[in-house]
Amino acid sequence: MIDVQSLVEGFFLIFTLEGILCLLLGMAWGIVAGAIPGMTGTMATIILLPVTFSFETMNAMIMLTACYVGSVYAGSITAILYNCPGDPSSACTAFDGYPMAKKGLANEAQGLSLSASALGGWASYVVMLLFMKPIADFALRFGAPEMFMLAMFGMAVVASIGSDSIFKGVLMALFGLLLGTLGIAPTGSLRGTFGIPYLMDGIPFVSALIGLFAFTELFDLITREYVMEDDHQGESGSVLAQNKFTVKRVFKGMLQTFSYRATLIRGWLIGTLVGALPAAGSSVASLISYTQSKQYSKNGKEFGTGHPEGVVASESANNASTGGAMMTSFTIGIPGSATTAILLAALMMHGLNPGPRLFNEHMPMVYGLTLCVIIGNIVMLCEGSFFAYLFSLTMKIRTMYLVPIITLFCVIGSYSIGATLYDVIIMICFGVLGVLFKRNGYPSIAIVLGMILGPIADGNLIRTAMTYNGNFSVLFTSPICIFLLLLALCSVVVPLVLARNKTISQLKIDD
Amino acid sequence: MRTKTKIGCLLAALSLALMILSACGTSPTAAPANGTGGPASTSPAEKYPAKPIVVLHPHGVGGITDTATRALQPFWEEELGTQMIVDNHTGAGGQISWTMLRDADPDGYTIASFVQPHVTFTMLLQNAPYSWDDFYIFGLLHEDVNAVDVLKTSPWNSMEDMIEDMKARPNQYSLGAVGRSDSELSAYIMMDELGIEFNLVLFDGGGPARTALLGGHIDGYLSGEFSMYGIKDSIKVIGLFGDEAQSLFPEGLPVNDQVKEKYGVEFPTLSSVRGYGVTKAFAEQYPDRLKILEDTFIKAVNNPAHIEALKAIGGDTILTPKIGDEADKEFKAISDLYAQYQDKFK
Repeated sequence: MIDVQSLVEGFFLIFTLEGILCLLLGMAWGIVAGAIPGMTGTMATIILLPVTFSFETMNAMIMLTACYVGSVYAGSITAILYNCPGDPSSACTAFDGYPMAKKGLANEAQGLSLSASALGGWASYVVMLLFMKPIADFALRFGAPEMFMLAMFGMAVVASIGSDSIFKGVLMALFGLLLGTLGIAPTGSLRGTFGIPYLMDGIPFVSALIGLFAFTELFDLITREYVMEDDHQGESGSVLAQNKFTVKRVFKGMLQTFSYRATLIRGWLIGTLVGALPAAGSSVASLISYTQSKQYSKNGKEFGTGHPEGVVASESANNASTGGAMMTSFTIGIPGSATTAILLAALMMHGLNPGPRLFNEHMPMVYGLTLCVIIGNIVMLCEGSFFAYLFSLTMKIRTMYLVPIITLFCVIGSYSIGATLYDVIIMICFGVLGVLFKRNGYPSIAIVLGMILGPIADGNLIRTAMTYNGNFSVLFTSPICIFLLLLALCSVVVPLVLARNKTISQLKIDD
Repeated sequence: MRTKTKIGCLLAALSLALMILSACGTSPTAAPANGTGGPASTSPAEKYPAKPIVVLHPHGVGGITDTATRALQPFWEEELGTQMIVDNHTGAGGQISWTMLRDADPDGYTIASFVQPHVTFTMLLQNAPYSWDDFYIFGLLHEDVNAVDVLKTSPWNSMEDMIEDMKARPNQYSLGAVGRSDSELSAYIMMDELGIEFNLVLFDGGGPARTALLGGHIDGYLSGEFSMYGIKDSIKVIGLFGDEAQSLFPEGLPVNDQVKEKYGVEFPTLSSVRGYGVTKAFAEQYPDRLKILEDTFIKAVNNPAHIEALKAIGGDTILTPKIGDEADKEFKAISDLYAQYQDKFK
C-alpha cells in the first residue's frame, strides 16, 4: 500500500532548511489568522497564496498546508475564549469550551482542544498515508442521493443539540435550511433574491456566523467587566482574582485529553470519513462527532455546560477531517473543502495538475506533503500552546477595551469575504437576530448548521430528481442511503427512548 | 444606564468602522476623474501606465479563469512595466465585477476579466445594469471548446453510440453539465435537434460534476476540456462542439463530423471564451492607452515562457489570442446564440 521508495524520497524533499522554515511560519500564520474571528482558514490561506507564488513548489505547498492545519485548530481559540468561533468548524467547540472559560478554565480547555486537534489530525494523516487510494475510492461512491441522505442525517442530529427544547432546535434548523436555499437554485432559477443581485449567491455564510456568534456575544460582554464571570466564586474569592493563566495549565489540559479515549477515536474516525467526502467539510464532521458523543458518552448530559469531553469530541473531528479532505483532493483532484480548493489552485499555479495524474507522477511529493503534515501536527502542539497562552492573556483585558477591538475584527472579517459592504450589513442583521434568539433561548448554532446542510441537501435532492427522472426510490435502495437513513432514525429515536426509560425508572423510584 | 452608554459606544465604534470601510469601498468609483472629469489632461506624453492596474475578476481565487489570469499576470506585468492587482469580486455570476468596471474611472487603470457565455447570462436573465454598449473587449485569451466526456470504461465510443442508446431507451441515461453555461446550452440543442431524451443533471460547479462522473453517478459530462485535464487518464472524449480538433484530447472528434451526415444536424460552436475588457468610454477617450494594453497583452500571451507555464496544466492548446475590433466582435457575437435560446434558461 505504501511505495517505500517514494516515501523516502518524500522525506528528503521536506527536510530542507527552507522546508522546515516554511512549516513553522505557515503554521504560526495559520494559528494567528485562524484565531481572529471572521478570518477563516480559507481566507488565511488565500492571503498566503500570492506570497508563495515565487517559492519552490514543495516549499509553497508545505507553507500552505501548515497554514490550513494550523487555522483549523486555531478557530477553537476564540471559540473558547469569547464564544466566537474563528472558523465555522469550531462552532461546536464553543458549546463546552466557552462555559469552561467562564468558569476560569480557559487554559485547560485550550490544552484539551490543542491535543485533541493534534491527535485527531495526526491519526487521520497516518490513515491517509496508508489508505489514500481506497478511501478516495469510497468517497467517490457518494453520489447525489447519498449526499442528500448525509445532509438529512446531519439535520436529524442538529435537532438534538444545544438546546433544552427539541422544538426550538428544529425550528432554528429549519430556519437555517430556508436561508440556505436563497440564491440561484441548481436549476438556474432565482429564489428569494428580491431583485437584489448580492443575494444571488445566497446569504454569505461566514458573515452570518460572525454576526450570530461574535457580534451577538459583544452585547453580553459589554454588560460585564471581564469575560470571566465574577459570580463563580472560588474557595478564596472570585475566580477572577485568583486566576492565573499559565502554559502549565495548558499542558494539564493536554494530558486530560487522554481520559476521553473513546471520544477521541470516534471523533477521529468520523472526521476522517466525513472529511473525505467531497464538499462535506470540517463543520459537518465536528457537528456529527459532537452530537454522536453527546448521545453515546456517559457524560452526555453534561455536554454544553462546560464538560471537557465536548471539546475533545468537536476538535478531534474537525482536525481529522483535514486529512480526509486532503486525501480526496490529491487523489481525485476534487477539493473536499473550500480550503483544499485553494491548495489545489496553488498546485496548478505551480504547474502541477491535481488528480490521479499527480498521484501517479509525483508520488514523492504527495508523500512528502503527508509526512509534512504529520510532523506539522507535532509542531502545532508546541506553537499552539504558546499562542493559546498568549491569547488567553486577553481575558485579563477589560471589556471596555476588548469590545471595540472585537467589533473592528467582526466588521473587517465580514467585509473581507466579498469585499462589499453587503457582507457587513448581513453580519449586523444576524448579530441583532442573534441577540433576540439568545434572549429567548433559541439555539443560534442550529441556524448555522441548517445553512451548511441546506445547500447540500437542496442541490443533491434536485440532482437526484434530475438523474433518475423524478424517481426518488434510489434514496431507499442505495446501501449507503439506507445506512445513513437508519443512523438518522437512530439519532432521533434513541434519545427519546432513553429519556422515556429514564422517566419510567424515575417514576418507579418515586413510587 | 451604564449598560446603555456602553451599547451606545459599541454602536458608535461600529458606525466608525463602517464609515472607514465604505470610504475604502467606494474610492475607486467616487473619486472624480482628473478634477474636471474630461480628458483635458491627456497629453499623449503622459506616461501610461504610471501606477498599478487593477484587474477585476468575476470568479473566485483558484478557479479556471483565475488560474489563467494569474498564469498570464507576471508576463503581462513585465510588458507593461507596472504591477497588476488581480481583484476577485465574486458574486451574481460575475455581475458584481462587471458593474464595478462600468462604474470605474475610464482611465485605463481598471480592466476586467470577461467570460462568455457568463456575461451574456447576466444580461439576458438578471437585468444586469450594463449592456455591450458599455464595454470594449480588447483581448481574447482562451477558447475552451465544450465536449462530451465519458469514463474510459463507458461502452460509448462515439456520438452515434450515445445517440442510438438514448433513442432506444429514452430518459434512461443522464448527462451532467454546469448550470448556466455553454454546456447546458449544448444539452438543450442536442435534445431539440437530435430528438433524443436524456436526464440533464445540472451542477453548480465543475468539481462536484467531475466527482459524479468519476463515481459513475452520471453517464456523461458536458464540459470544456481545460478542467478535465486533471482526470485525463480516467476519461475519454466522444465529441467536440467545435469545428476542429484543437483538443487536449486528440481522440475527440468534432460532433459535426459525426452527426452531420447521419442525422442531418449541424451544431454551432459551443465554448467558454475568456478575455479582457475595458469600458467603451475609455476606449474612445484614450486610444493610445488602449493600444498599449493590446500590444502588451498579445506579447505577454505569446511569450514562450507563458505558453510553457500553461502547458504544464493543459492550458496551452486552447489559447486563441486575438486583439482589437476582431476580439471585440467575436466575443460579443457569442451573445446572439444565447439570445435565440433565452427561453430555455429559467
